[in-house]
Amino acid sequence: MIFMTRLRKTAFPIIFAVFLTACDPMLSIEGSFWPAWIICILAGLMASMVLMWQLVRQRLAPYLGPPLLIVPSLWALCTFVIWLLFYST
Amino acid sequence: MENNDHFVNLKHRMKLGRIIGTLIVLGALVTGTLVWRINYQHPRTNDAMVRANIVGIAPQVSGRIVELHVEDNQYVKQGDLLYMIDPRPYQAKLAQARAELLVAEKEVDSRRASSGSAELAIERLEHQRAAAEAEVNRIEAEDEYLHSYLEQLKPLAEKQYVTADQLKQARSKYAASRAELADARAKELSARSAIEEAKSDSRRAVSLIAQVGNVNARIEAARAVVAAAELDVEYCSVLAPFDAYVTNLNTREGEYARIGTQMFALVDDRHWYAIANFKETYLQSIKPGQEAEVFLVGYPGKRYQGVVTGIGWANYPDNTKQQGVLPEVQRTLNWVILASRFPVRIEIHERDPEHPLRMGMTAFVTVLDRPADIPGVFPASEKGAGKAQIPQ
Repeated sequence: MIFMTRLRKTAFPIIFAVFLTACDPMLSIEGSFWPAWIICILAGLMASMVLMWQLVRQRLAPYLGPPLLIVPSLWALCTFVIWLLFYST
Repeated sequence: MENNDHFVNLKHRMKLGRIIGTLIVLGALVTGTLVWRINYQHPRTNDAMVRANIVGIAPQVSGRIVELHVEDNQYVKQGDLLYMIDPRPYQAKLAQARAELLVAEKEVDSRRASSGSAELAIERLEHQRAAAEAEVNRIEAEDEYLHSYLEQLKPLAEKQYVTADQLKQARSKYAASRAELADARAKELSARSAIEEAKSDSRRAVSLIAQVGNVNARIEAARAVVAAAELDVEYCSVLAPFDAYVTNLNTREGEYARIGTQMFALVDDRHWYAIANFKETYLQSIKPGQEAEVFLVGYPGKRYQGVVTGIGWANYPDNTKQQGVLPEVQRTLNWVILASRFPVRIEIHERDPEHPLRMGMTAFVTVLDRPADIPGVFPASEKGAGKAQIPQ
């Protein structure tokens, strides 16, 4: 419960603040256009790092399963969720 | 007691950790499948651009531009005067052609009159020939009489019933009649040949009129020259063929416009398209008539509705080349082959004066798996019979 409260207070606002205003399928940086999947991968990486940090803080990380499976899965999950939330339509 | 609590807490954490770990892996698989499915059902590409039909404006007559009514990037309506070429030489040619038409008409009238007199001459010669024929008949009758008279005198002369002088006179009259007959026949022949000659002259006169049925070729040719000259005068005023934007206009009055040389271009404002180059692997999910969403990077937050009007039928793969008459086949060991891309034409129906479309804008296109519900826009037929149209 405390974990979810903290997650809501920290990770979600960061993600929303960055992406909620940038739902266009491309990110324009000084005339260069970046595709959505690159944004999703980078955002997914950051989100998974924050989530993993929270899991470590909650001392749940050692019990999640093999890190080689869990860490890439968390990254992929975050990437796909961000894509589904902001870029699927 | 404390150890027992710690143990319970650890057990609880292990259980929660296992659940979260499983959810993470399952969630990654499920969301990944969902993403793949959405991507396949709604193909999208950023290899797209806005384009319109471009028509180069070239004069159909040569000459100096005396009036230029448009500026670069100006909007023009169908029928607006774009520029005018000095019409005076063409007006003079038109006046000359009209005069030549009059001359042709008079010439034809004169030839018709000559043909009429030739007909009269034939009639006159026919009468002469008839007279000559009658003369021949008369002389033949007289000749026959003289011949029989001479034949009657001959036995009488032998018996001395008639004098030798009478016989000689009869012979002489008969000989004179024979000569007169030969002369009359010659005159008749002469009359016949004169008729033939007059008929030939008449035919020549008729062919010179050049009348075929109700059409006179000479007058029609002169009229065609007048029509061409009128067209040339008309071509001096170059009008906008449709609603469009003037583009790449870099000249002014005084420029010598050459026939067929494009001076600037018009961007057709009636139809705007997004040409999206989709990988061949997505073509199965794209059909003409489907709705598409076009996002232009120049207008963040703005999305245009479009409809797929067709998919390119031909592509020129870069591995097919030709050296002379032989195909140039490269030695290659490509294990990874990139998908070909085919241009998909999407008509953008929506117009927004705040966000005008410009050809060449970078677009991001998503084809949706539902038919477009845009009235008046019809996809091109896959069989090539139809054409995308917006009612004007």
